Amino acid sequence: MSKYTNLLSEQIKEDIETYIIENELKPHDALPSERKLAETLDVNRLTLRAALKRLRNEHHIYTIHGKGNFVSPPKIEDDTHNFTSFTTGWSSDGYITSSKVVLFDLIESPLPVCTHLNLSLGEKVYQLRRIRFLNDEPILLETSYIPQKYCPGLEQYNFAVSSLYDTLSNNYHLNLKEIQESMSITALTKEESLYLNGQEEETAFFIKSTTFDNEKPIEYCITVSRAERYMMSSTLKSENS
Amino acid sequence: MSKQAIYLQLADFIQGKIDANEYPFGSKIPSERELCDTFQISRMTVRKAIDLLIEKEYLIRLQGKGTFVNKQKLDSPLDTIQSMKRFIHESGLTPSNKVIYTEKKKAGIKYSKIFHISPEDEIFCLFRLRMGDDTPIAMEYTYVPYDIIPNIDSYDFEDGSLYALFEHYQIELYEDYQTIEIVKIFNPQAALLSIPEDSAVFMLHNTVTDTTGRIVEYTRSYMSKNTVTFTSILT
Repeated sequence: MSKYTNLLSEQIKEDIETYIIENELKPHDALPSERKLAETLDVNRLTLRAALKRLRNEHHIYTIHGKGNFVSPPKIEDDTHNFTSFTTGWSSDGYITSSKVVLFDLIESPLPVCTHLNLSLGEKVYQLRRIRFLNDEPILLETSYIPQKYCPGLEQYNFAVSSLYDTLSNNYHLNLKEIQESMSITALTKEESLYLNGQEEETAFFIKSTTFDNEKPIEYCITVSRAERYMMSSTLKSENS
Repeated sequence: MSKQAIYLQLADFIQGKIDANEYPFGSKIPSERELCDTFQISRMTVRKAIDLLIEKEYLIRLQGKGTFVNKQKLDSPLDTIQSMKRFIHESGLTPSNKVIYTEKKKAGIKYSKIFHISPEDEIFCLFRLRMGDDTPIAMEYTYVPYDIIPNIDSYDFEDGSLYALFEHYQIELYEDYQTIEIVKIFNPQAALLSIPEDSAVFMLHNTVTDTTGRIVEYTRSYMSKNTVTFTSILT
């Protein structure tokens, strides 16, 4: 049972967190060397290393080989309780947003996309893949599928600058009011890692969302984002309130 | 909906059987040939329906053995506060707890900032493994200001629930600020959740406020990606 109850390295992890707060270390500030930190916290090197690994696993610190350990910048926090366009939502959080279109095609809807959009095989969808930047850092890789029958001529718009939701609502009179999202865990493919400035096989969020006009699914979107840089948040309400 | 493609209708039919537990987890579904005969449809159509349910993770195909009902993930909605016990119960499983560790300690700097109390004030730590049908669902590290529930350390949390205690002491929950991250897991959490070390898991932080504006609970939990997905509906 000792592997279940040995909480020492967890305690040391919290001690290092406290050290960071007390010494007001900022993102990218260096932690003391392992030897010094072990002395300060009065713990052996083995336990200290286990604690540092915990902090690294949870993205509190990062390590540069030969240089030591550094405080990680805070993750980008995506508040899921707003149904707004990318630009509106993130600008109101104080970020400078930009987008780059890396793929925009008209294709036959792949089977999984058919399911989410209630299409028959053979129907055409627009496939739009965009990298979303916050303060010039690539954070989200979004691949949207929109049935051509709802928005013929969509290819004339430039979605590096135009909002997809605004275009669908203003130019095609689609009333997008509801999103259903589900989230799981994936590993970045090589291509995704290049777009997001990450490593191949790195852990990432995999978010599937479907946007509806009343009951009708209009857009199916797959979003990938690096676990090291991204987190979701929401405020849950009590049932009585 | 009757205009739906045949393969979608068949997929709905099979999915319905799974949802109703007529095809339980681990059972083999009828073979492609049987489905063709029963519904008088082509093999292509049957295969499309099955491929779809594999894509949706309802089914899993084992080479040379057939197609089986996959393990269903629990679906955690991102809108209302609910106790883990109720979440597990509503997912159709029997909830149980294993208390790993409890402790009363000084808040220290980290928790004093979280609870807006003095570092000298005491908090109660409750580490629990939450299970459904005796399978690990989540490893939870819960912290509560020590003085909000009299003699909190005398309760048996294997049986009782923290939320029942809150209710008993008329602590009315107002909202829960939740963050979800993906991290790599380490022992002891990995061993407790019965997954390999260095697996990627969901890590949640919940900060719960009551109707008087006081922070009454702070919980960090780890959930395996094999057991849960998170869904929300935004309007």
